[in-house]
Parts: sequence; structure tokens; C-alpha cells
Amino acid sequence: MFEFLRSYIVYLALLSGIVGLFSLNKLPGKKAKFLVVLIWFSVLIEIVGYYFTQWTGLLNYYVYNFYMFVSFSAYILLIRSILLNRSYRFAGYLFLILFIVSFFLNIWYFKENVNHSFIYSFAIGVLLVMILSCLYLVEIFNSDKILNFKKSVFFWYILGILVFHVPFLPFMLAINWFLIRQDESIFSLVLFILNFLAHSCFIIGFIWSEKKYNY
Amino acid sequence: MERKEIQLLVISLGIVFLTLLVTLLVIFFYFLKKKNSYLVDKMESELYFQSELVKTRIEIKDQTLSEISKELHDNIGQIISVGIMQLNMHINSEKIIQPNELRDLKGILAKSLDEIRILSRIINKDNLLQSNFIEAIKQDLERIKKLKKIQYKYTLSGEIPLINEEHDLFIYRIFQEALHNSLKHSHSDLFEVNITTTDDLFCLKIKDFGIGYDPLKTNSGIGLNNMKLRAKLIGATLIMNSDSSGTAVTLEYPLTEPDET
Repeated sequence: MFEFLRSYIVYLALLSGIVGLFSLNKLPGKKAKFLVVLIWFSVLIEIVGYYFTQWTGLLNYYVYNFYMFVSFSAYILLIRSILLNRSYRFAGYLFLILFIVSFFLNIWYFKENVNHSFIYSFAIGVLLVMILSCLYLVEIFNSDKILNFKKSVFFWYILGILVFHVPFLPFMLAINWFLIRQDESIFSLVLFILNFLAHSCFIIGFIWSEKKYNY
Repeated sequence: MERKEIQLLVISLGIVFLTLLVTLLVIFFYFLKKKNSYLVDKMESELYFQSELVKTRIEIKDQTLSEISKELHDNIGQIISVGIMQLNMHINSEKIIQPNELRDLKGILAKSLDEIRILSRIINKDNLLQSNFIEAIKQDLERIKKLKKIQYKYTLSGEIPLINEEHDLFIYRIFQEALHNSLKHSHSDLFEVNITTTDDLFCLKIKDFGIGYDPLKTNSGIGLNNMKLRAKLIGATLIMNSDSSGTAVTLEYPLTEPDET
């Protein structure tokens, strides 16, 4: 009964994308503008994913797996570029390689099962992004930035990523291991709620941030 | 909705929100802890800075007082003693005093008056320091030139920098200490003071041409350590070079404030 919510996610993404476009003047530098690009990319993927089956006759897992690959790589690169500590930055590269390897291992081992989301590389991706985000939070909480981190768009973006992915992971794993029955309606509801929270974080970040903290 | 569906819904949302809650709580409490320790640290360093500031003020006053007492005893006292001795001579000789002898006496009195004027300027230095510490440095040099018969070379290039008042005090105290050390230990009769200001650096260099010291051997390190500590406290660096041809103390104070984020 909540299936319809699935198709509303694209409007959430559109909304935060538009807010992002309006606050472009507050976002100096490539890194900050990259956030808006990422959001618009997710809008594009939502639309393509929606019509993919109609256009090609294939299941749209290809699109979502591709999106997962690109978005996690982008998140890892993004957080890595914000980190200041040298060893953390090195860990960022290591994590990226690890994720790409896990993604291709997933393709390799579950060859017969391409029409499925790559739950294990998703799990690894979430774990890696989570660790990197924690490193980022540790870094800002241990510096002078602790007083003004709320005014940085990066903090809100990373919080949004965490809010979406961290609760989604146990839910996905529970479905995957048949702990709970897969139900399209509930899946849509959960996805919608988490997307709503994540995009709220993005929008708060765009509106609340101040230019001098966005470098 | 069927009973089973509702169960599934509750379980699913339970999993999702529990994880969400735990994540946010962990982040929040970590943040609180860090913020508290950050604020405590900041307060402590502020207190430390203030206490050093008070100490610096007291030291400047002490040094000024001891200089005044020394000058009173060594200089003005001597000059007036000479005057009194001459007066005694005249009283005892019972001759009529000649005008030129009186003129001599007047000269002595005028000289002691001059010395007293110089001295009064030192006492006023605290007021002076409030407007400009470079002026105070100049006055100091002028005073030692007059009273101690020591020559100095003084060069000032660039504009007079705008440094906040508290940091002024520290810089002046470091200068005073360095000058005091040189006067006491170096046996040099020539000083060089260079003040250079560029856009992002204020540089104060004091050089003497005395016997120098071995930085590794001197154990009277409290004064030097204090100077270094204070330089560090205001974000400046203190460089000391010493060999047999003299000692140079350089203070570099960056004028560009680090970004406050």
C-alpha cells in the first residue's frame, strides 16, 4: 500500500537539487559544487531507473548497481578530499581501491545473478564510507571547527549520507538473509523515509551553510 | 492491512530507526564530549595567557624600578655629591666665591636636573607603552646612550605595525630582557637594533658585539626560556645566535592572523 512512495523519491531529490542550484553562490570551489552535481546525478538515475524497463526490457538493477558504484566512489573521494590528516587521506585511497575490488568480486562471484542488487559490495561500501565519515567527524570535532561545523555544507552532506546508508544496511541485510520477508510496500516506505531524512539534511546544509566555511 | 504485514512493518521500521537512533546518539555524545574538552582547553590557555601577561607587566615594572634606583644611586647621586663636595670646599675655605665657580656649580646642578628629566621619562614609560612600544624601545636606547656611554645603531624600516596591546607588552618585555642581558654580560659598547616591518612579518633584531655566550653551556637559562616561552605564546619565534663576535637575538612576529574558523 506504500508502493507509490517509491516514485516520489525523485521529487525529493529534485527539491534538494534545486535548492542546491539556488545556493550555488554560497558554494565556492569544486568540492562544494560537486555535491550539487551528485544530487542531480541521483535525480537522473531515479528517472532512468524508473523508465529503464520500459525502454530496454531489462530489469533496472543494472542502473542501480551502476549508481551504487559511482556514488560510493564519489563519496569516498569526496570525504577523502576534505580530510586533512595524511594517513586518513591515504586510507581514503585504500578504501576506494578496496571498494572497487569488492564490486568486481561481486560481479565475478555472482555472475549468474546479475539481476540482483550487489548487497555485499553495498555493505562494504557503507562500511567504508562510515569509517571515513567517522574519521571526518573526529577530525572536525578535534579542531577549532567544532564551534562552527554546523555552518559547513560538508558536515550536513556527510550526515545525510550516513543517515541514509547506515540504517538502510541492516534492513537490506535482514531482507537478504531472509530474516524478514521482502515486501515491496514496506521496502518503498523505508526507502522513502530514509531518502526524506537524507535530503532534508542536504537542504538544511545548503540553506544553513555560510560561504566561508564551505572551502 | 493484514496482521502479518503490520508485524513486518513494525519490525522493518524498528530495525531502521534503531540503527538511526544509535548512530545519531553516538555522534551527538562524541560531539558533546569533544566540545566540552575543547572549551576547557581554551579557557585554560586563556587563563595561562592572562597570568603570563600579569607576570610580564610586573616584570616590566620591577625592571623599571630597579633601573631607576640604579640611576639614582650611580648617576644623580654621584653628580650631586660632587656638587656638595664643591660647596663644602667653598664653605671651608672662607674665601669670596667667584662667579665662575658659581657657574661650575650651576652646571653641575643643571646636569643633575637633566638626568632627573631622563629618569622621569622612564617612569612614564608605562604610559608611553600604551601608545607605541617602538617609541619606548627608542627611549630605552636613548637612555642607555646617555647614561652608560654606549653607542647604538637604530634602524626602522617599514611602517609601525598594528599589534594588539597585550602582544605589545610581551614583545617589549622580550626586548627589555634581551637588552638587559646584553648590557650585563656582553661587555659590548655598541648595539644594533633593527626593526623591520613587512606586510606579514614584524622583525625585531638586537645585536651586540661583545663576548657572546655558549648557548649549550649557559645554565642561567630561566631568562632565555622565559623569553622563548613568551614569544611562543604570542605566536612569534625567537632566534638566538651567539659566538665570540657577539650575540644576535631576533624576534619574528607574524602579522597575518591565522584563519579563525
